[in-house]
Amino acid sequence: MKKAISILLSVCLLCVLLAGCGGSSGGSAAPAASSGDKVVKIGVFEPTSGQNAAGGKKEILGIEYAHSLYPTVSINGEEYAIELVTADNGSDTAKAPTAAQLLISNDVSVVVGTYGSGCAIAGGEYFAKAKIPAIGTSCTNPQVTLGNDFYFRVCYIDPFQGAVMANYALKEGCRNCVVIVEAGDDYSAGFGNYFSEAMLKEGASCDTVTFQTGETDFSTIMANIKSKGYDGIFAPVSIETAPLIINQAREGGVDCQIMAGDTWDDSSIASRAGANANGVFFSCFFDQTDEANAAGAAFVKGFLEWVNADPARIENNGGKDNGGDVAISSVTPCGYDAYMAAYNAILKAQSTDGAAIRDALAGLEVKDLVTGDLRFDENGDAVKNYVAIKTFQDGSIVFSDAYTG
Amino acid sequence: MSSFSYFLDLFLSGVTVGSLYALIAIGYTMVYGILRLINFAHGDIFMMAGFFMVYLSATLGVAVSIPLVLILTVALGLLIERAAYKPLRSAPRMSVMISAIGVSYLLENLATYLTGGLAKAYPEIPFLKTSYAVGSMTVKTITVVTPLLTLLLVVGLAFFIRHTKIGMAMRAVARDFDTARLMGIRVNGVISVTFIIGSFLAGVGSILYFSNYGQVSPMIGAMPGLKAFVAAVFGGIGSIPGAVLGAFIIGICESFIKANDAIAIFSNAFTFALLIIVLLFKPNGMFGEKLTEKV
Repeated sequence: MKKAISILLSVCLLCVLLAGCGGSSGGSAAPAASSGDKVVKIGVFEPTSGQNAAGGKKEILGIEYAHSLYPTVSINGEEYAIELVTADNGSDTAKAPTAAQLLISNDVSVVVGTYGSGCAIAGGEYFAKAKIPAIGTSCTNPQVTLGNDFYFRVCYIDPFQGAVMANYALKEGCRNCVVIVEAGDDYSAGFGNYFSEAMLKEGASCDTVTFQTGETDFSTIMANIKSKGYDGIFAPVSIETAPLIINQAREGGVDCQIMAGDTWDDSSIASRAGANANGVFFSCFFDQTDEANAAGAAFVKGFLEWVNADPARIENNGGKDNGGDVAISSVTPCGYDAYMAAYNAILKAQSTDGAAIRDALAGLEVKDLVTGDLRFDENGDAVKNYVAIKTFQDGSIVFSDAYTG
Repeated sequence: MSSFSYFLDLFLSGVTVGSLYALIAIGYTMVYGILRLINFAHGDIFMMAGFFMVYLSATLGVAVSIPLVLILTVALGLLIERAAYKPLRSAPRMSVMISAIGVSYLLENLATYLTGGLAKAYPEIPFLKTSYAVGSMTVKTITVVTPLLTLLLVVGLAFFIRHTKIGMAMRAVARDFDTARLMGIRVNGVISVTFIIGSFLAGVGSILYFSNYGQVSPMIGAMPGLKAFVAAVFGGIGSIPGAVLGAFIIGICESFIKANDAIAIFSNAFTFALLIIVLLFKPNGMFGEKLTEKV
């Protein structure tokens, strides 16, 4: 009897192993066209687990929404169905290569993503080697595209964002700032550095404090900040860490201005930090209440309809905020714009070959995308000069200011 | 900002963190004392308790959820014991330890799958969230409640072990498993009580920890679990006062290391370096049982 059970168990384990190997290995795909139709695959390289999961899921929603509007592309007179292949990089630079290789082995023609510059840099070298172009969505560290001919991005970069936030900090009267940075994270360290440089250039002082990934206890850092009397905190940290810093700062008696960057545009931070987050400012790519942006308004209307149609999508978008509305994070339009860039590049290249699409991307110009007109410079970075500054108010995110040029 | 109140701030936050590690460390040290098993899944039971609270309080309200969470955590601990450790009781020690690691991964990935990998906000427990000003410092209620509650529970546990029949049975089984069985002690019952106490303390620890930090995520049990394990080893695995003392030392040292910008990044490294040093120079820990070789 015992022998029979152990043989049965071994057979089950073997089957599980083989099931994993066959078929679409691990990647989830949007419903493909019926057999016989032509298919072009777009890889979705995003974190759906780990500390950046909230942002990754929102970008995927932007990509999926764009896919629902443009599910096919015409190449050489034939209709190709676009299939999305998703790979989770787990917000971890150690897991990113595996996710990148998963996409490459699935024969994707172009990759969209990722949220989190660290993972983008880690996966980028594999995409370059396989000659598959990648379009970064909200990864802002310059290293992502520098020296990598196959990585492009649709958002602005950290030197620009850092200077804008430093300007803003100085306008708010902060002359003695402290930057809280996550050790070993390219985005956090890079962005913090650019902010610091910009502050120092204006004659203000700026110190840096580091913490380790996964840290939940900031009480010591806050006690330190309180005793040194800084008048501004700049914290370019992940969505998961943000409410910890906000709450522990206010609970520890630290009253100074708190600022951050694009990672803080997330409703979950608003709901977890609550009233403590009032008056916190951060920069981001897009604002849904901006009337001047016609493409943006159309996107907002269509996207809200699409998200509200499915409770799973609402959940992935962070649920509903206080007002009972679904908030749109500014990374979602980045996902949308990146997909549209990929779509237009495939159309221009009239090919599913990675290198051809890459060349098409280099000279691509698309007008009236959600975050503005799209054009890449010689590094593959989008030429952007618009930054929205938002703030938290009673559990929701509201628009405060815009910076253009 | 006077340096004394800054020093006190650091000390208090170290004591708070230390008492949270202590509550988890007791679970490790008790299970090791009786079963000679390092229950790696303990940190994840702590994490699951946090998620139980998040989901229960969404439908039932905080007051009703607290006892329910403790009951559920205990039930989870017992279930793991029955399913993963009991069948391996006569197997070599390695097998049970691997089973514990397996349970740990199972719980972490189960939580990731069920919650979608995102952190969830922990419900606010009204009286724990208040803070009051003492001189020029703001002290949170929870910073004071945590160490006091921990000490109370530890004293209660020590009393339980010294002065009740079950406590005596536990000490007997820890001293010599087979002889205790021969003497007619219901060893299964004793082991169950051990896991009940350990899981209960982990549940209490989770309520205090997550009320302090406000959010639960699937991997959050890993680091506190590891540090509590180091505390248990440092204090002498098998000795409860040792584990508590070890936990407080680790918590306070961590707090002071993090306060210094230059070496703050080594706060985790310090804890694990301590583990290596203890194992090299005093493998039985500060208060560990001295193993006598019987000829």
